[in-house]
Amino acid sequence: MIRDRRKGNHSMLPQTLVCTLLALGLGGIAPASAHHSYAMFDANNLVTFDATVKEFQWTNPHSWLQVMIVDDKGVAQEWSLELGPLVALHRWGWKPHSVNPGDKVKVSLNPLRDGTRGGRLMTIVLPGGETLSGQGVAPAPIPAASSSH
Amino acid sequence: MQTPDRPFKTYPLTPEYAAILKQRRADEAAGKPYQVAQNRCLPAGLAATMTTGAYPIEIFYQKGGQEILLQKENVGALYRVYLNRPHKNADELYPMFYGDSIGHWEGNVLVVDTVSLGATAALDLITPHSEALHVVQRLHRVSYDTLEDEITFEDAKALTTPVTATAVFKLHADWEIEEYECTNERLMFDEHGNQTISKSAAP
Repeated sequence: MIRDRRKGNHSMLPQTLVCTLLALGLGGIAPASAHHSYAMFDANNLVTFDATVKEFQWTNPHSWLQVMIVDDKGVAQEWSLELGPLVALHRWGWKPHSVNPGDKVKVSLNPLRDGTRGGRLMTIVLPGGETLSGQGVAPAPIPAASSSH
Repeated sequence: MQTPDRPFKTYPLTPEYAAILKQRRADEAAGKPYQVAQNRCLPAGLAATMTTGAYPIEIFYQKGGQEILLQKENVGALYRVYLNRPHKNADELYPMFYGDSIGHWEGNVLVVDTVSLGATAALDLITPHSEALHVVQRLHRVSYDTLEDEITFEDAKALTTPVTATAVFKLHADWEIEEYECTNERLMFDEHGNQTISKSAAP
């Protein structure tokens, strides 16, 4: 991707440069899928269910997994599970058809605080046994606190 | 990379803006988080673009060096830096997401100066800034695969002192910028600001 064809006074900057942010000590940086607050999800509550895939929405700003989960009364209920954006999922090993309607999966999620059937998908075990993350790699250390001058 | 949710530290806010942040945090605790522009699929704005990790940025050097273009993948963030003019006159400026950016070289350091960022109201997902926000970036390619961006936020209304930090970018020569159109926003907010998930995207 880098094409440093230019020779001149400013050769430290190529004509195109694709790069990612590693760290920013400016009061911390937001999560990978920093698009909205996650206050609606209970981050301290990780629950796991056997589920059947109804639909996989491979979209931005978030991908969504619609699954059927059997409740305590034996009734299948639809849940909406939020994932990261597809551009990030792709880099985390997902593909548009990593899951398909009818797949039997195991999902681990942070549920919605208000009791609505939904949550933030943290991991999924696919029918073949492969585990994928719904939110990316393990959290990294928080950068140093801000500096002022 | 990914960092834990909401890791924001304290900024040196003026009393007026510290009160705004306090209220936003209280609202969030009550299940009514502050809604930044990108929650509605609007542009994130320059400040949030530079304080949010993970997504790649592609930098274009064009028009014989008279213009630098920076594109960040998420939400298609894009802004231009003009190296051939000063800032526009005050009577030509208006509140923008990415502002009016001009640049010049100091040796191998590209200095980017941005003003008129009043279309957004948060440095990140929650910390307030005013329309007086002034951002200075000093971009320096310190090695073949490492680019440092020393960023200074200055805001006479919201910050008691300027804040400076350095973002470190890693070259990914084999990556492509992917399409990121915001088409499926399912987080909805009622008239009281309560956040819920809808069954489908907003019309």
